[in-house]
Amino acid sequence: MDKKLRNAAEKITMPEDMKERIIKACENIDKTNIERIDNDGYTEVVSGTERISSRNNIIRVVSAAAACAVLAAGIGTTGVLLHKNHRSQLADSDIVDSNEQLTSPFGDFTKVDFNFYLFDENYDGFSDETYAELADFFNSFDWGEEYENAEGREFQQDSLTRYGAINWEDDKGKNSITIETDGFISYKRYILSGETENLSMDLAFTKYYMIDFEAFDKGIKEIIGNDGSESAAEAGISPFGDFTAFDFDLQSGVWNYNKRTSAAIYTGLADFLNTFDWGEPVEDTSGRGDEIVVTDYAYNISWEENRVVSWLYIADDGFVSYSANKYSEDYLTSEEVERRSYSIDYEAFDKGLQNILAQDVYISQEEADRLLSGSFVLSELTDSNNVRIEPDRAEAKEMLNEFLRDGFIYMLKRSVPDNASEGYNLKYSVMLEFKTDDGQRHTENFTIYENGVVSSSEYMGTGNDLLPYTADNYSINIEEFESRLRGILGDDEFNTGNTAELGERCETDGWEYVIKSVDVTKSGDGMDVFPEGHYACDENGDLIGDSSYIIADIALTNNTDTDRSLYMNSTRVDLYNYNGDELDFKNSMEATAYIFNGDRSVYEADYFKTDFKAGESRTFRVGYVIDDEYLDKSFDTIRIEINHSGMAEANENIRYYRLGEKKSLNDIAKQG
Amino acid sequence: MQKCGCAREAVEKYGDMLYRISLLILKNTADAEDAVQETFIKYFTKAPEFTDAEHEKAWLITVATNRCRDMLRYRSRHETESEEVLNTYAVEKSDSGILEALMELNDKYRIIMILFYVEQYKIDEIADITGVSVSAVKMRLSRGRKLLEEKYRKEYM
Repeated sequence: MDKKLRNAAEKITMPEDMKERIIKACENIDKTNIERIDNDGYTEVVSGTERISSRNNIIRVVSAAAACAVLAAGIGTTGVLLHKNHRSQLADSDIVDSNEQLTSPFGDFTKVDFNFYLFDENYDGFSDETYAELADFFNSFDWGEEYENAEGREFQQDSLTRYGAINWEDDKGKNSITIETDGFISYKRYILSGETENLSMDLAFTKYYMIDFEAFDKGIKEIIGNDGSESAAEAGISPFGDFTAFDFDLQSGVWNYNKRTSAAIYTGLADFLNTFDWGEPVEDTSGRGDEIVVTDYAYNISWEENRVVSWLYIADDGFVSYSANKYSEDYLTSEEVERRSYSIDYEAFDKGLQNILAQDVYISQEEADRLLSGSFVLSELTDSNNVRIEPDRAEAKEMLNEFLRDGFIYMLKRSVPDNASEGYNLKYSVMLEFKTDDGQRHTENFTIYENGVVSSSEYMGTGNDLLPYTADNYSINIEEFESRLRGILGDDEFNTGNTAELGERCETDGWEYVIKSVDVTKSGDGMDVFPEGHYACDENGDLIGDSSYIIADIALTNNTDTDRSLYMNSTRVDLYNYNGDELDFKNSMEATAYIFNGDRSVYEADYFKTDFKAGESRTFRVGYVIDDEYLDKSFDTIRIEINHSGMAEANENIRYYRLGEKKSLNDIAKQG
Repeated sequence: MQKCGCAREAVEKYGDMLYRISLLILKNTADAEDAVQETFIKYFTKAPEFTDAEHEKAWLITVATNRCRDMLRYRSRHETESEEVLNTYAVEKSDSGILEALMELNDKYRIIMILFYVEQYKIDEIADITGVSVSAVKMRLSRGRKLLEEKYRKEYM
């Protein structure tokens, strides 16, 4: 995909007329305008600066994190901070000009284009007005005297005590001030040296200060609290940071959404968490935030960045507890670096999340690949009694293996079920075994419950020493699963489009059938003509002896715009086993349908011929007689065959209705 | 290192690259032209001395990317359908799907993907250009790639 993307993108070229317009625009730039603009001093910083305006239009945004990295590393091929071409109070190697009234030990911040970055806020997009206020604040703040007791202390990017940074450039080089939460200040001055083609940025000196951090922090908060620029929320970032930049886990009950979730859903979750209205922090008067009970939350989100592990617990009453712990390098110890509480609209949060999660229908390809990793060895399907379901026919065995390996996995869904598996019976178990490249056994075990919840557990190991590896939960459409199994274990003919289930519309030759119900009875109630010959019945039409009626309630419609007639004996009933073999239980005469309609005229016509006007519908009770011995035998399907051609052989116009009780899949599999 | 002496030389050298990046970010030819023109004007009026050709290229891409991000926030023109935008270029039908899928990604991921896959920048260089932390670049690259694959497979294959 990488090459494809690059190859495709490289075909995009600027149209010639556009090039000419741009060339002309550049050539028309007024030289006097160039000088004026130069004097205003615009600067572009490769490390992510947007347009930096002059002292009259103060800096908008500079990424100080990148800037700090650049300063620390010196000039890289892309990391040069470009200096502007205007006079600065900070000239040469002397920061302080004793003949000038400077407002800070570092110079007059109103005369330099600086950027200010707060590390934990991960934010630097302050407005021009805020920068003006910051400049005044830095100028007037009491930075104190130089601090002599630095003892080799140096600022670390991931330091627990990092607070913020101030960076700016001048004609000769760059300057960087880092502020830590204990008031420690490190000021580094870099000088540009070397020939034009071999420039380098060398550290000229470092000075240290120790300030009243509380006073500094208070001043900063007062200024940026009034910042009119886009807030973090408006910029689409949560109060906890940018979820699109975190590798977070979202847990809700038994469901765990992490990077294995489909990218689209995961991105949707990140965007939702960024833009959700978390409100302002609240005081935790209840003390719930101190030791939140494990079961007291509806959602739990966690992520780690630079050994800082953050946790967000959301309770179903809207209480939110946020905490962050910084871990030592060996992750054996930690200390809390932050804790805040919020109060949110839980219903809005829950609904918003669930709407996104509901879109995550099937598992991702990556997850499917993980479940199916290795060379396939075998599969097993067992029923609720732990009895293996295994067809006798080799072809069906192969089809079952294929389905469990390639079909079943892709039926698994990530959606949150209405209920967990508790209270529901186990219905099936599926086991898949694979052999990994290094010879280990990899098994995936799925327990499928009545409500479609699927609990999975993964084991890895050698021989019989299998150790649990991962566990997860999914859901599946149980009806679809069973339907697919029946299609494998039963007669394929019943899965064709020609076969309908009770209640379904079935059309052929312009006639629409709906068989609404079926009864098996010996009662001849409503029967007009009693069976003769083989089947004995009494004066009421009740069958005596060992046979019964199968009576179907049929709605029949002439779906054309012409009047038509139909021979009502063009339906018959058949019995089939799971192999699709028809049971020979009747002679052709007794298979004929009997009409339970109270309309003797039908019986007086040839072959029960009945007239239908265009679009007319009629309802009939149609009965068939079958020996009880055939009803008692194991069978898969009773079906009604609708065959207007009268031909014995099947053709494309024949339709079937599947009737009768299906046996258990295990019983079906054992037949034949 | 001296920058290009005349406008024609600079536009011929860097125009296609900047236009490609701007178009993929902005998804609109008129906006892309604006972004590229402003970048070149800035190049001639405000650019510093460059240490080498890579430095010059990175500077131009940074300026163009920043301008595009500004324009995305304050967009006044209507976004054009990505298929319509790509129709005017000699992009083969078999390849246009991947570009269309790319252009449908959220701009946070799209910009990173363009710099990594199209312009072949490394992660730390992308962090410098965009001002995003290295870990965020990695995260957005990883997710962007997955999103692109999913979208491409589902909608364009």
